[in-house]
Order: sequence, then structure tokens, then C-alpha cells
Amino acid sequence: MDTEVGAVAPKDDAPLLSLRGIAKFFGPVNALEDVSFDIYPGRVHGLVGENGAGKSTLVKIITGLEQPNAGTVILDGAAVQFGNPIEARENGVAAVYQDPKLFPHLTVAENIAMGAYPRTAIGSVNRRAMEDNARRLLARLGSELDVRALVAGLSVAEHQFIEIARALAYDLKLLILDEPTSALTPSEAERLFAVVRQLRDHGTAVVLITHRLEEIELMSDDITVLRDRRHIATLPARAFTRDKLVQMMVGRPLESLFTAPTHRQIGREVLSVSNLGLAGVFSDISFTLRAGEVVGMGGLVGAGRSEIAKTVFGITPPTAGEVCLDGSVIAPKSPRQMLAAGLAYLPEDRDRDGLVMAETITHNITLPILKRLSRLSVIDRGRERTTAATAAETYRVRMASIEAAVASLSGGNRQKVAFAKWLGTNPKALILDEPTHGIDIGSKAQVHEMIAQLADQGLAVLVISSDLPELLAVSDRILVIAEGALVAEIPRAEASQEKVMAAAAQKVERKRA
Amino acid sequence: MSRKIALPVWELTLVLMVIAAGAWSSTLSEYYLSVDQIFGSTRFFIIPGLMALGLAMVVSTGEIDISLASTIAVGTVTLSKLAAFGVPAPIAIVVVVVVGCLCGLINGLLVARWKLPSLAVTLGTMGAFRGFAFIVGSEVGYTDFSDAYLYTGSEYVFAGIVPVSLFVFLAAALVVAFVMHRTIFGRQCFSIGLNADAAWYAGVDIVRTKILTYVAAGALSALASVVWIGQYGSARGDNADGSILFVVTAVVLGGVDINGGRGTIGGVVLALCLLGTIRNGMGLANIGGPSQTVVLGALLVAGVLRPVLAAAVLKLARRPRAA
Repeated sequence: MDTEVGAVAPKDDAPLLSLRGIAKFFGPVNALEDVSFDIYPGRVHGLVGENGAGKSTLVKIITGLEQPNAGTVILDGAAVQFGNPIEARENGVAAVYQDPKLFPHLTVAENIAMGAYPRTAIGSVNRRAMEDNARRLLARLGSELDVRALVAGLSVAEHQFIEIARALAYDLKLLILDEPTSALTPSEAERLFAVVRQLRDHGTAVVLITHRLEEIELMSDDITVLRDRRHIATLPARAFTRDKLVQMMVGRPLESLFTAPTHRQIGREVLSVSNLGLAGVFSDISFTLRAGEVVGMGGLVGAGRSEIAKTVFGITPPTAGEVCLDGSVIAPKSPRQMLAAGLAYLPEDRDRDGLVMAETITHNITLPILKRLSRLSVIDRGRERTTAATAAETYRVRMASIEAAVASLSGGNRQKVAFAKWLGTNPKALILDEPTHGIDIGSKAQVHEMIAQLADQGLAVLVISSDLPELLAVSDRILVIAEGALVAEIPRAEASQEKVMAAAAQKVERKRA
Repeated sequence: MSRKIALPVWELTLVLMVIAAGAWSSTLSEYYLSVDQIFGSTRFFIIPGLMALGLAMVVSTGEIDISLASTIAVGTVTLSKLAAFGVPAPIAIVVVVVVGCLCGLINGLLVARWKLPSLAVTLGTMGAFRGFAFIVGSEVGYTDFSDAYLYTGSEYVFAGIVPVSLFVFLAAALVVAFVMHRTIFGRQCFSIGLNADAAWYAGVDIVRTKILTYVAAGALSALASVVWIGQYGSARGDNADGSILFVVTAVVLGGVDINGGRGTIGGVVLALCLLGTIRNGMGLANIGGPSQTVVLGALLVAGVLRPVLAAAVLKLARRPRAA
């Protein structure tokens, strides 16, 4: 790896927080490998990387939500390992997320004091002290929020202020902001950044994680790039240009692993979506899928890609537009109806929506096709077993037994069971939502191979992926979604990671300017 | 994997517990081990048994129905009205089963279509159905049933040893077991109980399936009300009041996960045998009603605790390997 750890510019102070060789794995899946860098007081540290690069895992390790498998976190010169976020907070390390988890039916003051209510002499909650304290902390953020108001009625920005005020209750040394602006309006984001600058000027270290590169450029003094769960570089912000940053984030040697698509026979139109909209989520989405074609769908997390797929599949019925599947116009109402029409959807959260984890492999594979395996609604269990066994073999599921619970399989093998399950319905069109999310490299290559084979067999495939190299490797054509709108359609010959990334971020910039 | 091994183990345990309870009962009375006594004791659990079969279907999807005892009162009162009008018994039985289906339909629509919490819904209908039964029924209770009305719940066949209602129960148990373990419907019920989202994504019609379980539970309770008339000969608004504890205990002790997704009808039937034997034995031992209720409640809690305890034991057994 072209790690450039040594290139950190000299700072006046000793680092506030040092990460040394941090590694984390979940079962066979590596979430972080050997990450080391320093965070200095009084500086804003931008942390960037694609989805799945390991940013969130790193935050969880720093705040004690996860324990590292290797490496040490050094705070103020002493190695620390927090057992939970409360302990981290008490030691001056706090994280604020894009959607803070507050208690909606309690007041602002109660939320700020949560876990440490001031007491009166007789042991009841000292409301006055609690409210004064909350007012004082909010004032430090320049906020005049009514401390007696219920949190339920407040905006996301106000939630974040409450969360930061909570952190200030202790001697705040390090504030981590994880995608803080993704749900804020531009003026709210500006106010948040004003607070961040103020904290920084008072000597607090701030780690800023955001997909919006212009925010990184605007706010950061130092920038760390993570890619593929590894540390790529930590440099002063002025050492980066936008191009260099994007290149460091996306350019990975993995590409060679991906099979280049062969030139396919692209046939008739199978799925066409016209002017599809879901109020408040996305609007005016039109695209087509042809038989034998793999269409990629890229964009930032939260752009609305999964939501579009779920609407097409009938999980959240659309408020506008229509879907035409194999020549007949359908108003999607339920997955049952769309499955019957010949569409299958492999959900993003495989473990939650795609499979019944506690059930056997057999029962998972046959759940959508029970009707075909039964007579007068009585299941032919012999046929069920042979069907499931054949499917499991076709998709090369590695398992102890076909009667084993899906929960006992690895991520990659679960994904193969999911493939077997949805392809068992004999769909004409298939939507794959993040099909290689959280699975190991070997299985990943197999999934890509599978996608290519399916297209060769004449299936129309839509692949949603936040993994840019994957998107480029498997797609014949790439649709880019930004903020609920289709902003670009790039043919494979013209597609590059930079181009897709630019399109995905482009609309965001325009809107926020 | 765990399912294939764990459940038969529990069912075998239940069989052993039934034998143990029977052995205990036999020490209490020298008449216990007679054939007619044993068959006679099955009468103790046929009414709650029919309800438990229905409740097991509802619980398999992760829902609950505590209104079933009130459905029985609606059923008995309906039968009394039909008897008073001189409706022939077979027709009356069909009508009362339809009424039971309607009670279930109300629950099902509220829970599945309008997505209301089933505990609150059926607590409400528990009160509403019973109130309805009190209003429609007479204060004193109707006892003027013809023999044809009483037959199902009171007659014995095979030299007067085996109650007719036992056949009704066994037939119902076989049908429910077949539906739950061999048909698409049953498989879909369990898949909803394990993961409703995944079931919905896989094309399962959750609303329809859940409504059908409630309708079936209502129908089975209505059938239980027919047995009730035969056993007690009286129809009043307070019929079967308080019997839901026994029913829920049987379902949970039978190994049906109260959160849905797991369980067998065989286990429920065995749990009914166990509870029936214990209750019969407690009667022989002159243990009073309140104490019996304490025992039932404790068994219910034990039934709910069982998977938790099993998980704790499993965790303990695993720890040395993980460390």
C-alpha cells in the first residue's frame, strides 16, 4: 500500500489522540487494518473515504462502541480503551451523528443532563440546576434554544446542538462529527460550522466525516484518507487538491480482480420506469433495463437509490409515475405482485430483509416459490428439498447441511443463498442492492461472475452499488442518482470513477451554493 | 440446525413430565389409574385445548389473542338463543362457528389491516365480546338445551368411556397440525413470526395470513363453546371467564415461542396433557383453586423463561471455546 503516514507536517503541540496500528475484524471480514494517525488539539481533522472504507468503525473504536482487535488508542499520552461511549464522553471524547439519538419526549434540559441529573438535598432531580446548566452549555454554542421545550418538535440541527451541548458538559477534548450536515439546510450547516470553528479556536480537536468534499476543503486543517479499510494518507489540507483527494479515495488496485464484461447480446426492453416519484424522497425517475444488460446505479449514500428500487419492487408504493414490466404496465403495490410479474429484488440489508436468519437454507430458498412446490397448498417436501439442494449447488453455497440455519453461514454464503432464493422465482428483471456489501473479496469476485452469467442468460439486471470500481466493472451503463434525482447516465465506454463521483456530488454542490 | 434438534428434545421432555405428573397423581388416589378416569380427565383440557390450538396459530405469527375466552361466552350465548328459537343443533353449531369466525375477523382486521398492537386490541375485544355476551344472554343463564345440543360435550362412546369431545379435539389438533406443518399457509405463518419484513419481501401476504389465524382461532373457540354447553349445560355471559391463563400457559409450555416463528402443534397437545394431568392431580390432592392458579402462573413464567435459560446454558457452554 502506498501509505504516507510519515508525511505529517510538524505541529506545535503533541498530538491529542494517536491511533497506532488499529485493526478490527468481524468474523472473517476485515473492517480495519493497521490504521495509524494523529489528531492535534485546536485543529479540524477531515476523515474521508468511500462507503465501507472503515470510517464508522474507526469512530466506534475511538468512542468505545467497539473494541479493536489490535492496536492502541492514545489520548493525551496515555493508552485508553473505553468500554462504552459514556466513558469516552467522561474523558472528553464525544461523537455526534447525522441523526442523534435523543429522547423525544423529554425536554432539552433533560436530554442534555441525561445520565447525570443534578440532585437536591432530598435526592429528587434539581430542575433549576439542570436547566441553568443546559442554558449555560447551549449559550457556549451561541444557541438560545428553550431548555424546557420537548425534543420531539425540534429540527435535526437543534438535535445536534443538544448532542454537542451534552458533550460540553464534560471537559470536551475531541469532538467527532459523523456526516453532520447530511440532513441540514445550508444555513443550519453554516451555523454548525461556526460552532466547530469556535470549539477549535478554544483548543478542541474536531474530527469531521462528510461525503461533501467542499466541506472537507472548507473546514479541515488536516485530512486523513481511508480506503478499503486501510489508512492511505494523513496530510495537511493544503497538500491536497480536489483531484488528488478523489483519486486517493477511489483508485484501488482491486480493479484487476474484477472480470471485464464480455460484449453481450442486448435484447428487448424488459423493465421501464417512467416519471417514478415518491413524495419527499425522489421524483421524476425514468430509465429502462434491457434483456441481457447490466445497468449500474451509483450515487452517495442517502441519494435515494435503495428507495427507488424498493418503490419499483412495490415495498413502498410510488406517489407518481408507473412501471412497465415485460410489456404490461403495473402500479407497484406489494412485493408479492411484483414477484408474480417477474421482478426480483435482493435487498441491501440481506440479514434483516433478505433472509429469515433463524430458518434453514431450504426454507429460505423456497419461501417465495412455495406455490410452485405444492399441490392444493400442501407442500411437497421431497420436491422442496431437491429444489433447494439444486439451487444451493448452482450458486456454490458452502454449508454443513441444507438444513442448517442461514445464520450459521458466512456473509458471502448468505448472499449466495439470497441469490438462490430470488433467482428461484425465475425473474425477467433483477435488482441487486449492494450485492457485495460486507462480503469477502473471494465471494465478491464470484458474485460479479454470477451477475455476468445472469445477464448472458438474458436477464435484465440493475446493480446498485456504492463501490465504484465494482460499478464500473459490472455495468454496461451507469445511472447516477443525487438527492432523489437521476443526474447522469454514463455509457460504459465513457465511465470512470472520477466521472461518476463528480456527477454524484455535482448536484449537491449546485443546490448548496 | 438448532431447531431440528431442540424441539424434539423439548417434546420428549414434555412426555416425561406427563408421565411423572401421572405417576404423582396415581399416588394420590387408588382410582387414578383406571381407564375411564384417565379418559374422563381429558375433559379438563378439551375446551382450553381447542382455544390453545387457535392461539398457537396466532402466536406463530408473533401476535397474541387473549379475547378467546370471551369468544366462548359469545358462542354459548348465541347457542342459547338458537336453542330457544328451536333451531336444529347441527345448524346451530355451524352458525356459532361462523359467529366465532366473525369475532376473529374483528381482531384480525384491527391487528393486521390497521396494524394495532395485538395485546391491546384483544384486551379490548376481550372486554367487548364478554360485555356483548352479558347483554345478549340472560342474567340467570340458559339451561334448557335439548340432548342434541348437549351431545358433543357430554356424551361418551366405546362403552361409555371415551368422551365424544375428545374426538372433536383430536380431529381439530390433527387438522391444525397439518395446516401449520405441511401447508404453505403454515410455513408463511412461521416465517412472519421469525421476520415479518423478510416474509413481506418474499411475497407473503402478511395481512391476509394474520387475519386467517385470528379467524381460525375464533372458529376453534366457537367449537369450544359447543363443548362447553355439553359439559356444563348452561349458557351465561361469564362462561369460561379467566380460562385464558390456562390456554396461554399451554401454548408457551408447548414450546411455541411467544414472539412467534417457532413451535409445534404436537408440543402444544403434550403441554395440554401435562397441564390437564397436573390440574386433575391437584384436584385429587384437594389443592384449592387459588393455589392451582399460582401453579399455572408459575408454569407460564417457566415456559417463557425456557428459551432464555436454554440460551444462557448454551452461552455458558460456549464461553471456554471462545476465550
